[in-house]
Parts: sequence; C-alpha cells; structure tokens
Amino acid sequence: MRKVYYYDGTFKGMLSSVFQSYYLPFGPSDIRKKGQMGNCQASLFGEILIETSIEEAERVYNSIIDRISLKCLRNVYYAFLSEEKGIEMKILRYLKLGWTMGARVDDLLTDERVNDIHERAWKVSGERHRYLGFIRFTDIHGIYYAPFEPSSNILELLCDHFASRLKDQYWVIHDRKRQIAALYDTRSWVIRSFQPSLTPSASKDEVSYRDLWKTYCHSTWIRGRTNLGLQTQNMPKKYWKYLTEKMETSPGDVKKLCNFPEDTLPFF
Amino acid sequence: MEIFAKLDILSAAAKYDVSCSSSGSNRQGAWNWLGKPHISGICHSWSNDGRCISLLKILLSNDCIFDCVYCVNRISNDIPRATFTPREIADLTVNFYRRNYIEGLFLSSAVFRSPDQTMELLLETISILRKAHKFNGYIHTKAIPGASMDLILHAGLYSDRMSVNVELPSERSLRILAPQKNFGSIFNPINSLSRKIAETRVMVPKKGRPEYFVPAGQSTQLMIGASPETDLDILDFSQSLYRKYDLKRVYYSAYVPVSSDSRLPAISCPPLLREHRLYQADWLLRYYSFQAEELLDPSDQFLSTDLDPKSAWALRHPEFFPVEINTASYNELLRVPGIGVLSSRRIMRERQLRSLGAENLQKMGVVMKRARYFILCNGHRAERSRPGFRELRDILATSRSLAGRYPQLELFINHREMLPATTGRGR
Ligand code: SF4
Repeated sequence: MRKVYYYDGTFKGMLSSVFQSYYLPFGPSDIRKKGQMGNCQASLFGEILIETSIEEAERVYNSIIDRISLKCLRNVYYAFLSEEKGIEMKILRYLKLGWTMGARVDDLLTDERVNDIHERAWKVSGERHRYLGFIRFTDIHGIYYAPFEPSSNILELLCDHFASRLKDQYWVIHDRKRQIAALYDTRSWVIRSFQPSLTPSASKDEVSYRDLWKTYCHSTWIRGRTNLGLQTQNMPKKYWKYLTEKMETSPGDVKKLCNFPEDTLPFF
Repeated sequence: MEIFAKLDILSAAAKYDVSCSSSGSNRQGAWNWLGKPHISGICHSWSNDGRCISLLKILLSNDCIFDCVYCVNRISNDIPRATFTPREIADLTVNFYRRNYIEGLFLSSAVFRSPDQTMELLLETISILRKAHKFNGYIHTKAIPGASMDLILHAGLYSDRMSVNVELPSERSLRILAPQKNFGSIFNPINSLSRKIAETRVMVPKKGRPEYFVPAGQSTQLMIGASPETDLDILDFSQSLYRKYDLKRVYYSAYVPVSSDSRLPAISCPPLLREHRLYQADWLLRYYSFQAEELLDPSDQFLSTDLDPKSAWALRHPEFFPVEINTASYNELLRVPGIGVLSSRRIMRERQLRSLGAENLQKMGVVMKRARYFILCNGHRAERSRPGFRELRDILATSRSLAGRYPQLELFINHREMLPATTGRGR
C-alpha cells in the first residue's frame, strides 16, 4: 500500500520528503504538512512522519542546482510558497522529470508537470511584485510597521528588497494571516513568529504624511478619465485593507489607521 | 500657504503629464544611501482614473509666464497659484519614500519668472535630495524649454530620467498654440541630452563608481487631439524621435479640454480611444519591428477605431499568411494577430524540443481565437473554415469590448470634421 508522508511544513522538510521518496520504487501517494494530519496521536496505518534532515535537504537542494538548474530551484521554491494543497506532489513530479531532462525541462512549457509548477511560481512572484508596491509603512516612534495578509507565504521574498532600499530604517513587515513578521534593525533581518503586544501612539508627523498622501492620490485623479473598473483590475479590493490611501478613517485615529485588531501594536 | 494646499494645487496641475514609469534605471548608490531604483519599475497604487501611481508627480510651480492655449496653467487662466520651495519637495519625497508610497519623484514645473530661474529651482531640489538626503530613489526631471543648457545638463547628473515635452507634433501647431515656445527651444535640449547620454554610456571609469547621466534615458509626450495632425503624422514623428534621439518612450496624452479658445477643437471629452490606438501602434514600432509607413499610408491617415493596428495590417496583407509556426522567424511570428512577444519567445524555445501542433499553442499564451486563421502547424491549417474578408474583420474587431473601457465612444467625434479652420489645412 502506498503511504502518505507528513513533514513539518518547512522547505527543508519538503526537500527531505523528496529525498525519501526518490529512492523508493513506489513513492508516496501524497505528501502533506503535519498540520493536515487528521489525528496525530493515532498515526494511522500508511502515514509516515518524515524527520526533517538538513543533510538530506541539502543533497536534494544541490542536486537540483547541479543536475537541473538554478532556475528550476527557484521555481520549486516559489511554487512551494504558494502553500497550495497538493503542491508537494506536483513538485515531486516536476523534479523527477527535471532529473531526467536537465535544464531543458523548463522549455517544455506545454507539459502539465512543468506547467503546473510554472503557473504556481508565476502566481507567487506576481503577488510578490504587487506587494513591493502595496506594502505601507507607518512610522511608530522610529519603527516603520507594515501589516499585510498575502495569500502566499511571500514575506521572506520581500525582505531583501526593503533591506536594500530602506537601509537606515528599523522596520517590521507583519504577515497577519500567518502571525509571522520580518524584523529589520538597519543591518539584517530575521523572520519570527509575532504577536503585537504594546499600545502605541503614532507621531503627529505620521498622521500628516498619511493625509498628504491621501490628498495626493485624490488630486492626481483626472475626472474626465475616471475608470474605476481599470483601477480595481490593477489593484483588486482585497489589497485595499492596508492601503493608506484607501482607508476611511478620521485623521489621528491611529489604531484604526493601522488596522490593528485590538488595542495592540507591535513591539520588538 | 500651507503644504496641504500647495500639494493639492501642484499635483492637480501635474496630472496631465502621463508618464508614470519608474523603470530602466540601474543607478547604484553608496552603501549608506536611501533607496534603490527597481529595474522594471513598481506601481504603488492606482488612481480613480485607472492610471498607475508610481512617482510623486508634482509641479514646483504652476505660476506660469507663458500662455500656451491648451494648458490649465497658462498665464491668462484665472486659477489659484502656488509654488513649492525645494526643501518642501525634498521632504515630501523622502517621507513618502520611507513609507513605501512611491518609487521616487517626478518633478516638473510651469515657467516661473523665467526659464533659467525655474530650472535653477528644479536643480536645487534634486541636488538637496541626492546630496543632503542621500536619496537614491528614482527621479524624473523635466527640462524647461529655453533654460540654459548648462543647467539642464547639470540636472542630468542627478536624474534617472529626463524629458522635454514636445506636446505638439508640428512646428505650425506649436506656433499657433504655444506662441512663446519654438521648435529650437524644445529640440536643442533633446539633442544635447541624447548626445550626453550616449557619451556617458561608453565611458566606463576604470575604478570607482561609474558616473550616471540620465541612466533611464529620455522620454517625451505628445498631446493628442488638440491640433490637426493625423495619426500618420504623429507616428512618423515618434518614429523619427526614436531613431534620431534614441528616446526611451513617447507618451501620448489625449487632450483634456481645459479651455474654450477658438484655436482649440471643441470636444466634450478626451479622445481616449485614439490615444489607446496610438499606444498600440507605438508598441508595434518599438517591439514588433513595424515601420510607421506600414501601419498607415497617405490614403488613410487615421488608425482604425474598431481594429487594433496589427489586425488592420494583417487584413491588408493576406499574401503574408499563413505563417508556419514551426519554421517562421521570430519577426514573422510577431506579425500574427493573437501572438505577442511572450508567446513568440515561448514558441521559439519549445519548438527546438518538439514540433508544435495547434493544440499546444493556447497554453503558450497564443490567443487562438484570433491566431487560428493565420497559421499553419506542420503544414496543417489550424482552422478549416475560410472566412471572407468581412467575416474575418468582424472576428478581429474589438469595438464591443472596448466600449466598456472607453465609455465616451459614442461621443467620440470624427477627427476629420473637427479640424479647426484656422490652420488652413483642410482635408
Ligand atoms: S509653459 Fe508649460 S505650464 Fe506654462 S502655459 Fe505652456 S505648457 Fe503650460
């Protein structure tokens, strides 16, 4: 009977699962994140818990680069971050094809095994690019805080970008859906689990810059060319929640401005 | 005057400048500088008119001494006037940038007191940004026609992109509609900038950081519908700008009626569909190796309203088709309606591995609904039926889908009837 693999949900864990399945004559019937395991206690027959092994993960990692291509590794990683159900098996299929074909695998655009991965990776990199623009920081006494709720797990993909442009700024980018945040201290960034804990107050400056920005967005609109359909097509409503220019709040109401759940704001 | 009022006036006055691009710059700052341009540009928001907001686009001043008929800021227009100080602009830019509202600054100005004085203020603003704030984000600066060349070239050292707006595609129209400007005051800076850009590009220093001079190149803007030039005139003109001065982009801006002067056409809404067709045609010039003369000829000088320019070309050239997908050159593929740059590249890549059938093409991004009538796959037609010219034309026509996006379509006035008599260029 074919088994279902469970791993810890990390990229390394997934690579370990790939390693384990590669040497078996019959691979697993599915690879899932641990959280999706029905009842962890009574590990049902046919369910195997994969130990994450750095060494195994590294071997797979290097073998993708050496025997396929760096681009393929990037595709795999991006597709993985989509966190879509069943993505692991698709990655496995794609990699198996890759190891037989080498770098040319990415030219096989019409093959479903390749297309599946390309599509997911494309979606994730598209979402990343959108958020490069849509992230909005709020200055809370010298710490620039930005909450967001991406559908894919793209937080890590944003960090280098903001670390290289907002170099001298303390900033926090907070994925409220996954309760993780990237913290940057003007030298390097880390990602860790994150729940805001202190009551804040934003500076007066902050409030006026927000209002200036709203003023700008409003007055740059050419009335004779109004096209709200085109606006939402480019900037779907799901992104509006954290966009300063789309928030309907009275100036000074900082808690609402930042869209915080309760009376809480983040703190390092 | 408080900063809110200034921002309100001076961003509203700058909004008719359509260029919003923040792309194409490779400027590298020192390690401790603030900001970094993104090579393909980033949009940060979209305005209610559906245009992307990427840069803080403002005028330093709207207090103009000139009297260009088509412009809201003309001296004879009775509107509130405002002028920023260079520090105010620098401050706004940096603070917006730190909150990730923008990619940088688009700085333009009306002619405030004199061309030189205006250019000096622009220069001061961007040098505060680069030197005092160590700001390394994107800066697009307008060169003011008539300002001294030294000032303009100096601004190039701090700018990622510069532009001089041509606005009117003929000397004649310029004389009528912008009496204080002349072709020389517009083309001299374009010419000098393009030379200096080319020179800087070939001079790479042996050590140290390279010197930057307008690394994202030059652009300009043409106004559509305020003067009698035909689409052919306009495309010809753009083509020569691309060839002669190596411009990165020509923007087209549908004239938004702001004045009831008799020298201007009386229209009730901007000719957005015409603008859209010109952008499509311009795209064909830059990425599809079309020539302006191929898209239009002297007997019909306006782009079709219900067909995109490429489909119109395909219908006029049945002898070019069908194109064999598995052997055609890249440029031949590009000419097929429904096949774009991306899908052509994909076809070129994948057909080295296997021969392609019609069933594969959809997945590669080809719009088969259009392409099927124009292609062969291994000698087989992708479409059995052979529609006649009229039928094919209906299939390719896009007027219905565009009607939603350009709601003023019904109001769109036939441009030929609207030519102002004052130009004496009846047709
Ligand atoms: S010089 Fe520029 S701002 Fe002044 S009226 Fe002419 S177009 Fe308008």
